[in-house]
Amino acid sequence: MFRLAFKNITAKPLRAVATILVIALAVAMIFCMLSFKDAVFEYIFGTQTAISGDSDIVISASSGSDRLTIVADLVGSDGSPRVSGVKSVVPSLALYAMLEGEYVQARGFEFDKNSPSLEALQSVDFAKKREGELKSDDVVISESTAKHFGIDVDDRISLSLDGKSVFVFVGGIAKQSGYFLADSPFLILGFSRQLSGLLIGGENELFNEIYLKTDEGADVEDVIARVKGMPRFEDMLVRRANDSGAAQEQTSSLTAPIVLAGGAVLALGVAIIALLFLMGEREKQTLISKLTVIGGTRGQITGILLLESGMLALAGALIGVGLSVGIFAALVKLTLSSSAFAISVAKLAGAAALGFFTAIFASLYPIFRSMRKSVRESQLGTLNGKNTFAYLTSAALVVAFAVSVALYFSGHMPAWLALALGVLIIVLAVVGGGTSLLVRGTGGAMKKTSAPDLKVAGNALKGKRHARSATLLAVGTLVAMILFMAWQLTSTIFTAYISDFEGLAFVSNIRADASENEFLEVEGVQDAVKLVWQQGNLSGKGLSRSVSVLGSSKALSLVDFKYVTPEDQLKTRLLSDEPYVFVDNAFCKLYGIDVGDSLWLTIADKKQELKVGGVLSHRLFNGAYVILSENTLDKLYGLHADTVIARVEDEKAIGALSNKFAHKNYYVIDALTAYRWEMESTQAVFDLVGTLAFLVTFFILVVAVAATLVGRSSEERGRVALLNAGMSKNMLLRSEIAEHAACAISAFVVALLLSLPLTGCLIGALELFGLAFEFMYNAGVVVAVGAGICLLYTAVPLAFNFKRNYSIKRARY
Amino acid sequence: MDTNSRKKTNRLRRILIALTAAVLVVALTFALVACNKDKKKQQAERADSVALLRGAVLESMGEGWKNDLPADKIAELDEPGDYVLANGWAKLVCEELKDSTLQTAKLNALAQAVASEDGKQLMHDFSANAEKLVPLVRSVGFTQDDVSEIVFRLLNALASKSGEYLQDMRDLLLEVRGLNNVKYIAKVNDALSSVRLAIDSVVPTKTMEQRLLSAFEDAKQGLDSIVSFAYSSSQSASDELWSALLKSDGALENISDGEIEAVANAVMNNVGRLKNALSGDQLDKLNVALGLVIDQFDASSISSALFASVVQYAKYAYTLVDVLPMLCDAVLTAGDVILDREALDFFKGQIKNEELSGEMVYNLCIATARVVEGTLDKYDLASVSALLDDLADACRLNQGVFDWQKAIPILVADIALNLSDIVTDGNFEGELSIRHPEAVSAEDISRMSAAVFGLSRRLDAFKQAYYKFARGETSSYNNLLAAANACRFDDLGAENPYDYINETADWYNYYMTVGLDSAKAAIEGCAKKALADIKLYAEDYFKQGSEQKTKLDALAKEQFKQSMTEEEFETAFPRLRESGVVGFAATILIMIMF
Repeated sequence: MFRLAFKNITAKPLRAVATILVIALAVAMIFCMLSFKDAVFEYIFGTQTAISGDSDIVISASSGSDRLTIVADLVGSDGSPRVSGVKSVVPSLALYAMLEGEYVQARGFEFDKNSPSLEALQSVDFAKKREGELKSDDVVISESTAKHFGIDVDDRISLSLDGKSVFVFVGGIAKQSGYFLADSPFLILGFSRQLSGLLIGGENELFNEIYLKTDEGADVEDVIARVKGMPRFEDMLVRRANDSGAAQEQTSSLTAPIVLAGGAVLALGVAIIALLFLMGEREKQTLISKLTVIGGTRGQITGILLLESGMLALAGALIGVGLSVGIFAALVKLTLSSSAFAISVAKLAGAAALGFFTAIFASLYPIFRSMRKSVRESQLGTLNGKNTFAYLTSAALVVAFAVSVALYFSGHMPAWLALALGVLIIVLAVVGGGTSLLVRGTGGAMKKTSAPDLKVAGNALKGKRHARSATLLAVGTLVAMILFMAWQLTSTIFTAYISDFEGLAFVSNIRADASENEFLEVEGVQDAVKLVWQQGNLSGKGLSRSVSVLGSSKALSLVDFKYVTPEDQLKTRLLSDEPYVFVDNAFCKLYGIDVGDSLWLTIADKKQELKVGGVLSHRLFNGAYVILSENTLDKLYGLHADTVIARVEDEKAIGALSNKFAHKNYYVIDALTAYRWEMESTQAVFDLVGTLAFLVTFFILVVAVAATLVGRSSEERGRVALLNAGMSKNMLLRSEIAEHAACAISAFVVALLLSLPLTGCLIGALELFGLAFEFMYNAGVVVAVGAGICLLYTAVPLAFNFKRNYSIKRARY
Repeated sequence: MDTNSRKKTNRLRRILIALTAAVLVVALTFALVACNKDKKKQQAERADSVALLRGAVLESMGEGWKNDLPADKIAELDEPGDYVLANGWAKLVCEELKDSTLQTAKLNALAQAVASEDGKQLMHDFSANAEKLVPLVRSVGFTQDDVSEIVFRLLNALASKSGEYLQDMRDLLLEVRGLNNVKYIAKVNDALSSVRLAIDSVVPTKTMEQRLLSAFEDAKQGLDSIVSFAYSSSQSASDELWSALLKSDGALENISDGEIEAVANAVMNNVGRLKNALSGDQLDKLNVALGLVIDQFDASSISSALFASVVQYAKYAYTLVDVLPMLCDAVLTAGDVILDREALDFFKGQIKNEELSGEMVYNLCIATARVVEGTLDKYDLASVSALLDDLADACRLNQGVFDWQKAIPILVADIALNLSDIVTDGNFEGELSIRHPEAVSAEDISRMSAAVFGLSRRLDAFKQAYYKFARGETSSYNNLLAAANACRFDDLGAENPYDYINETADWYNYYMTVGLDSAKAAIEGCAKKALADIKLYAEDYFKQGSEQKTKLDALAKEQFKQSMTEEEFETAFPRLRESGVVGFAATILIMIMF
């Protein structure tokens, strides 16, 4: 049996290779979609913890504390930690310095002459390094910094601050990983002994941040409390160095559209494998009938076919495993520039198993159908007239609606979500059924034309192969449209509200006693608001979200908020001393929060209960912000203003602000530039999403073409007959082109029509992730993607030079 | 599949395999070549930088001077001898720089700095402009580690390679002298004499060379620490802290007490590191190494001003090395005193006053008292006596081979102790009143001053001045006389019978032989008395119920005053004087004011 199965495979090598390739690609695609979110999380978490690495606690200056600190209270004279629960103490100096007139982050660690190293918190992956050990005045920069400033290894650069400057020497250029994941502004990594020269002359080790790693099993909150209890650190910010919760939320925000689309891609992968095996249904049935005639039992025949499918599926799955790792690792490395991604064996096995078993089950279908027919029926390839697919579709529709209604009435799902899910299922069902109808209709219309090539094409379009090809293409095109729109949607997450920041400048790292008047004195500055700007966690009423905390009674003047709660009422409460918090309407929509509700806000590990005083609406931070008065923040959290947001006339005013305050180590930046940097640092995620979109589109095309080539191989007899009957090769080629065009156009039309409601579902379903978006549909993206796929598929006969293989000969069976 | 198709497929497969293999081989080769090329390129760049530096040095020293001129070109120079010497020594120094861990960009920057106006002045007359050296290298970005590494390398090079380079210089000079077109043969001969002298006096024997290298290696930690500390102290953070306190703007505007503590802590850490580096047997090893340097290398014979400076600084270090641990203790204690919040509050407020107020002097005396008390608290009579005995041993007192330079710290300490008794009414005027006349007299104090402020500080300058005179670089007798007078030989019992104008060489040699011997004898006598005097002060302080200690302790415990009237100050002043710290406080005040 094994030999027979193997012979079947080798009889049609092209089909076998195509089948294996398709399975492998499907497995790779499934794995990519399953692993996408984890990769993004690791990247975002890595970016957020770029400096802190695996440390647990960070002690840093607040606007009201000392700007410098010492570690004597934390570390004994022998270098061992003095606080119980602390395993290691890493002091650091972080400054904003100027390099060639641009802001850079200068960060320095303690210098150990015996083993100088910058890997106190993270490893450094060098792209280029000078020979020998690092010296105290050496720095390491990233590849992008080197490129931006035109610097190379062993160059001397001058950093300046407050009229002082120090020379540092480039000891190495690092890849964009580890510390350099947070390279906005550009990071200059060196030693405190040299960088302290920017504050005070000589070579002295000054520090303003301390990173602590706790012992295994130690209670981090407990250690934080103990450190905060020390007089030296009581005014400083002592908090967790990494917040995986915030990273999870940001990951969800960025990946939500893709995760949703991933479900469709997953289904597509499974469908493709199934369809591929179903494409060979006719040959299988013919073979089954032949084997039955020569005396093969059902068991033997099933065994042979299962063996054949099993070998193909196994080969495809195994190659798919290799391809998955290779493709995804390359993808992650290319887009996220990260080499720290771990391959999940479970997901790899899952993707391979899914591909394998889908192939096996799909291969069982023709066997099952044949078993129900007579030998003659199988040999003649007649089918029963029942449209099983239509029945299945209808059943699926009914089930979907039933489930949605049940979930709605059970209270587990809002009506709009139930509707969105229902519409999603309908869309997919319509694609499956509608496309084949459109293809057949187009075929019928072509048959009525006078052109012989179109007539021939129209006749061919009646066949199931074209219906399946068109369906495959329609689903694939729709998925590609979703992915590209998701890409566009992802990249607008940051850009949506950025336009409101035009004309604003941020001045951070200010002292609490800085006066707004100092900023208003600068020419071109129209308004200046001093506020607390921190990250917090808002929880309560089923909500737990990271939010940007804007702490000022003047915060409402920053951008044009819409007032859900009456404006004067809201402003009165903001100016009062009551512990009010003001939230965005998105929270009300998503979590049913209302004025008067109690919520908990945690900032720097201090949790306080607040009452919702009012509701606003703005795209700011996609709704993830809260506003409090500075008095509330001072009273409840001990926080003081640390940022000034200034409204400026033009870029000159920003330059003037920078000139006036840079020497105080204030960090002045145009708001749009600040978010450009934030966007650039997450651009890698956008790139990954975009690359995935292209990859999946490419895959769809490959599969569609492979399916075509495979399916077409069984129609060689028909083509030979046409050529024998006198049809010219050119005419035959035109006919095949017309077939492809008909399929492609049908798929395009169906996908285009359904893309609109599907986008609505997508945006509605995003609310599952706590993301409230306004409706965004980009017809340009949709048409471009669809038209591109359509054109490429139509050109397949030319691209693969079908004409070359036309020959008048006896076809083999 | 038919035969033709099969053949086509096989052919395609073979082509694909061949292409893949070719690409792999090319990529691998490229990678290997690129790596090698990178390293070679870096080495070539470094060699170029060093050549550039040497060229810059030579050009700064003489017009038309370039690297490694051939003998016939040297013969045409105005200063052929100087050129050969300069080229030779510069070659040695640059080789050491090339082999060091200094970044290549730093060497490039050094070349540019040497070519600047300040650099040219320094190179042209190193001895006269030696004070420009540290600011020059600092402007380039030399760190303390760089300087300590270079100093260490140069000392090693002096020991192990000077002979070879001097011989090359001699051979080249001989070659030049043998040519027909030598413009200034006399200068070639002078240089040749100088080189021969150096070979005889500077180049160590093989045995001595091994001793020197071994001693340097043993003392490396100590040497590095001292040099690093000295270099970093030349741009002290305390100056910067001072200006930060005075400034009301900037990155550390309105500096807080906590921030002052952080900066002071950073400075103190450097002092602490120095103290740790000199603990255990490191001090002994350092003494051995520096002693060997001074014994072996006479600065006046080294025709390289840079090497002469290195030896000179080694001598300075030698004088201080034994008292450094105690000085470190004093600085660390001072750090603790200054960081007292009360003291900080007062001094931060006072610092912006330009006038010297009574309360300023008063509070300074309190601070000084606290530092002295805090430092001496770590010692007792036995340990102080032991330290003094160590100092006596170090300068080989009563051993027939007295090292007068090592005795300088003893003389300094005794002068400072006795200075308190000069002040009688708070105006730093009046008769010198000696506390222990049985130990020292006023004349002794005067002789000590001559030794400390005269001979010790000015002797090398006198030697260099004569050396230049002897080489014809200067013809000013007055300058020579002034340099000799600054050494205060007369005050140390060395009256020169020779005429400085007509018998210059004899006059100079007298000072270097008989004169120095007389001065040494005078200083040895002073040193014995100073030691005895200091011991008496120590006994006064550490004895049971010591009045001195009681008064000092009482002053240390007093609170800082925010303001004082003149009458209050005059009433308080005797108390300050009797505590014995006024001399030290006066010294600090002078340093602050000037």
